[in-house]
Amino acid sequence: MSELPQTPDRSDSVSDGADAPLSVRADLAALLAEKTAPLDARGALVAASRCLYCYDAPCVEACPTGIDIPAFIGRIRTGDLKGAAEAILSANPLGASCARVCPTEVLCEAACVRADAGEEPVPIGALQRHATDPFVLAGEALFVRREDTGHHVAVVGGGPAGLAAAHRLALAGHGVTVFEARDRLGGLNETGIAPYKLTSADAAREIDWLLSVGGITVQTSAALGREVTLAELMRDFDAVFLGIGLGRTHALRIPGERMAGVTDAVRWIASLRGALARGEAVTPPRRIVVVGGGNTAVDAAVEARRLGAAEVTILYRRGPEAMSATAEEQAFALKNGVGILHWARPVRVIGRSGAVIGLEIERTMLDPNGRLIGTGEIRKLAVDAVFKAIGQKLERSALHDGDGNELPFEHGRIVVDDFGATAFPTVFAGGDCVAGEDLTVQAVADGVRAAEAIDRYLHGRLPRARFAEADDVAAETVVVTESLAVEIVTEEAGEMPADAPVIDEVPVEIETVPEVTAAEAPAGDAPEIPESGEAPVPDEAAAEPGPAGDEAAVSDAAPEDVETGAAAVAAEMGAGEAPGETEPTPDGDDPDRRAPDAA
Amino acid sequence: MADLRVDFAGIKAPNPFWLASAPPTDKAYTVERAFAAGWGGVVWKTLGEDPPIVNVSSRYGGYALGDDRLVGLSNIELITDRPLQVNLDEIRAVKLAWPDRAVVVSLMVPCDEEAWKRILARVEETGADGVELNFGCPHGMSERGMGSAVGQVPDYVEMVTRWVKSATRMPVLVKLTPNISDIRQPARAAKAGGADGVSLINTIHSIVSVDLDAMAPTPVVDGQGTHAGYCGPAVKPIALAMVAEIARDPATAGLPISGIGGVSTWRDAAEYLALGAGTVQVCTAVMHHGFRIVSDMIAGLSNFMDAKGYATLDDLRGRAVGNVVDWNRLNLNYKVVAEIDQESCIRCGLCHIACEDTAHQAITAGRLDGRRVYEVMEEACVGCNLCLQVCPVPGTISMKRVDAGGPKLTWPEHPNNPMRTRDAAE
Repeated sequence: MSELPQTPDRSDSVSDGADAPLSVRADLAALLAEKTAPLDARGALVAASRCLYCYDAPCVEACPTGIDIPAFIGRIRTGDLKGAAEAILSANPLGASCARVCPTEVLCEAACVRADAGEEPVPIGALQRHATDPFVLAGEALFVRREDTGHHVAVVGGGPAGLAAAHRLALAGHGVTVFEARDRLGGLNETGIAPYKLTSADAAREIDWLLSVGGITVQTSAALGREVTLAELMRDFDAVFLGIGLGRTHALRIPGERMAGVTDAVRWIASLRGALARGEAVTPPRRIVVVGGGNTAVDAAVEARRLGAAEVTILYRRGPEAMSATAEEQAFALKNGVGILHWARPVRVIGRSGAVIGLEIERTMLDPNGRLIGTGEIRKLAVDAVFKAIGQKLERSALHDGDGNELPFEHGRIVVDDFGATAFPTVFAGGDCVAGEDLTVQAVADGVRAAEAIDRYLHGRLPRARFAEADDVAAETVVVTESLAVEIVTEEAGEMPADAPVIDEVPVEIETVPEVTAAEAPAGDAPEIPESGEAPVPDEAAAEPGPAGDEAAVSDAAPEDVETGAAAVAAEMGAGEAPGETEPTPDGDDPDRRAPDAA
Repeated sequence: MADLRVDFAGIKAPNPFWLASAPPTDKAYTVERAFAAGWGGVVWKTLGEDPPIVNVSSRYGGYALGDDRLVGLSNIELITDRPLQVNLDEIRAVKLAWPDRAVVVSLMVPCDEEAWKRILARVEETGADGVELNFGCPHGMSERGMGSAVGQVPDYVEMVTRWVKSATRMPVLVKLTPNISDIRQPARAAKAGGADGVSLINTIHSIVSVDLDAMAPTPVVDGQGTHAGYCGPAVKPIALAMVAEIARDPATAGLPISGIGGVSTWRDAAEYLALGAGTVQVCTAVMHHGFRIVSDMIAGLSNFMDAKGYATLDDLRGRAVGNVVDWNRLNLNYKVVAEIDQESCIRCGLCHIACEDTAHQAITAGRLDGRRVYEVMEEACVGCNLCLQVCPVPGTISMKRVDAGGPKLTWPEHPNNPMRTRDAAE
C-alpha cells in the first residue's frame, strides 16, 4: 500500500481551486452511474467457469454470512440462476446489496485461490449480483414463509441487521414488527454508502423484496427511547432484536465544529439521496475536506467529486496502511480526483459569520513509542465544507429495562453471546451496536444469527444463558480470516506525555476478532476484546451540528490566512510520506481504524 | 529442420497433416484454401452415385465445457450433396494445380461390385492419388446399407475392399468405424481384402445432447433428432487406443494407418505418429479455427522432432507402439507416490477431497498459521495419480518413484496369482 500514489490521479489539477474538470461535469445519469457495470450472461458464464469449486473453500470462510460461493457459482455455470440466488439469499437475505457494497477485495475475493495462482480472483461480487438481481430487484419470491407460529418479535432498527433478522424471523413463521427511527428503512446501507455503489431505487426494491415474504409490519419514525421504549417492547413482544446501529456521530472536538458547513458524511449522503429521490439538483460545496479513513469517507468524497465538487480531500491522521478503507477504495478515490492527505488532523475550524471558510490542520507523526502525536506544524486550508466520517458511537440512553437495569456494554457496544443474546432474557442484538466488523455483510450475519437463535428460543430449544453449549456454538461461530483479524493496540490515555498530546478525537472503541476455526472456537466464549483506552467523553453537544452560536466568533479569520488549498498542502507536506516511517507502525494500532467504516 | 515429407501407402505429401473427408473438403474452393494454408493432403468429401443425397437443415451439435467450445462435435450431414461430375471436375483441377499435395477421394456406393467399378473408373480419370472407402459413417447412409453398415461386418469390409482393389490401380485406404467391439477385426479384413492402408476413426455413434425445451436430441430438425457422428478432441483417447491396437496387432503389422480423431495440435499429431500412424487427418479443429492452424502444427512437430533428434517421420513413427502392452506385462514392483509442491500449491483442496472421498485417504487437510495445507501421507498413497489429474496448477503435484528398484514383477509371476507361471516374465 505504501507505493499508492497519494495525490489525485488527474491531469486537470484542482489544487488552485479551478472549476470542476469536465470529467465530473457529465450529465446526471453519468454522475450517478454505478461504480461497476453488471455482468451479462456471457460474461457471467466466463467468470463462473474460472471457479475451481474448491473444497472447504477459503472464500466461504471469508464471508461473514458464509454463503456457499462455489455452489452458487456452479449453479450459474449450469444455467440455474434461480438456484444460485437461493444459495446466496438463504445465507444472506441482503445478498443483492452486499454484492454491490461488500469490500470483496478484502473478503471473499481476497481469499480466492486464483489469487494464489497469480491470477485475478473470480469476481464473486459481480457474479453474486448477476444471480440475485433478477429475483430481488424484480420482486420474485424465492422463499415461502412457514405457518404462523403465533409468536411476535420486535425488531428495532431497519438497517441491514434488522432487515436480515426480520426477514429470517418472518420466514420462520413469527410475526415481526420493525421499528425504524427514520422515515424510511435501509439504515447505513443507504446513508453510509454512496449512490454510485447502491442506488436508492435498488435499495428500495431490495427492501420490498425482503418485506414481501409477509408477516412483517413496519413502523417508521419510531425511535427507541422516544416513540417506543425497550421496556414496552420486552413486555409486548416474545423477543426483541436490537439492530439500532450507532446513532451518534463522533465529534471532532475542535473549536468551530458547530459552524455551518461542518456536517456528518452520513447525514450528507442521506440528504443527497433524499434530493435525488425528489429529482432535485444537487450542488455539493466547492471545496470539501472529509475527515476520516474509512469507506464512508471515500464514498462521501467520491460522490461529492462526481457531483461536481471542485476540490475534495480526505484528511487522515495516519498513513494509508492504517486506513480502514481498502487499498482498492483508496485507489478508486484517487482515480476519481479525490486527494488524500495523510498524517494530518484537524485542529480548528475557521469560520466567518458562523460559516466555515477554512480548516486548520496539524501534521501528525508517531513518537518513539509508536503513539500518534501532533508535530505542531500547522497549516490552514481554504474549505467550504467539512464532512465528518470518523465513526459513530452507541446511543445508550434508551437501552434499559425501565427498572433501572441497563444493558451491559463493553467497549461502547452491547455485550452479546455467540447467539447474539444480550443479558436481558428476551433481547438479542446485532449489527454495529455489537462488537464486530462495521460492514453491511457483518450486520446481516449478525441479524441472521440472532434470528435463528430467537427462533430456537421461541421454540424452547435455546438455553437462556450467555454462555451456551459448545457444540451449538462451534457450528455457528463466525470466522474472520487472518487478513481481517487486525491486532489493534489502543493507546492508553494515562501514558500520554504532557508535551506530546496524543490525538484523541475519536473515542477508542475497537475490537478485534482473533482468528478461530469452528473447531477451535472456545465453547460459548465471546471473541476476546482487547482492552481499549476509553477516551474522555466528548462534549455531547458538539456531536450535533447546529447553529454556530457562541463558537462563531472564536475562529473568524482573515481570508488570507486560509488561502492554501488542501491539494497544495498535500503536495507541500510531502503527501503521504509518513513521518514515523523509520519506525514501523505497529500493526493496526489505530483506534479509529474501524470506527469510521460503515460500508 | 526435420523432414516432414511422407510416403503413405504410396501416396506422397509434403507433410503428414491431411484434412479428413468432411465438409472442409467438399469443394475446390475450400480445398485450395487449405492447400494454400499448407495442408499436406486432403481426403475429398465422400462421393456417391447420382442423384446426390439431400441434407437436412441443422446438422451439427456441439459439446462445450465451460468456456471451451467444441470439445466434441456431432453431425448428421451425409456424403456430398453435389452432383458427381461437379466433384470429379474440381478434383481434377485441384490435383493439376497442386501436384505435390495428396488428393485422396472418399467413396461410398451401395454394396454392389458394379457400382464400385463404375465410380472407380471415373475417379481414376481425375488423377487423384488414391481412394478411401467410407465404411464408417454411423448415421443416415448406414440405414441405406452403406457406411458403418459395411464397416461393422468384417466380411463385407474384406469383400468390398477386394472388389475395389481388383478394379483400380490407385492405392486404397479403408476408413474404419469405431462403432464395433474389436477394431482389429475390420482392420484385418481390410488387409485381407488387399487394402493399402486404413484410416481411423470415423465418427462415433452418439447423441451429443438433448434439447430440454424441444425434448429432442440435438441437432433438432423440426422437433426431432437422430443419432449422430461424434468427433473432436473428446474422441481422441478412443481413437488413439484403436490406432495402437492395429499397430501392435501382428496380423496387421506394418499396415499404413492414417490417424483420425480430435487432432488439433502438433502434440496430438505426434501422439498418433508415436502410436504408429503415418499421417493424421483433421476436421473438427479446422471447422473450429480455420485452415491456418496447420502452420502451427507443422512448426510444432518440426521443433519437437528437432529437439528429440528425429530427422524424419520414419524415426518417430511407431516409437511408442512397443510400450503399449497388455496389463499383464506391467511391473507390479514399480511404485510412485504423489508429491505436492507447497510453493506453487494454491490450496484449493481438490486433491484432498478427491483422495479422501474417492481414493485412498492419503492427502491430509490441515492448517498452518491459519493457512490451509494439504500433505501426502506416503504410506497411504498408492500412486494412483488422481490428485495430479484434479490439480488445477500444472506441475504442483508430481509423482515420485519410491520403490526399491527390485526386479520387474508382473501378474503372471505374482505370488497372489493362483495361475502363476514361472516364466511368464520375459
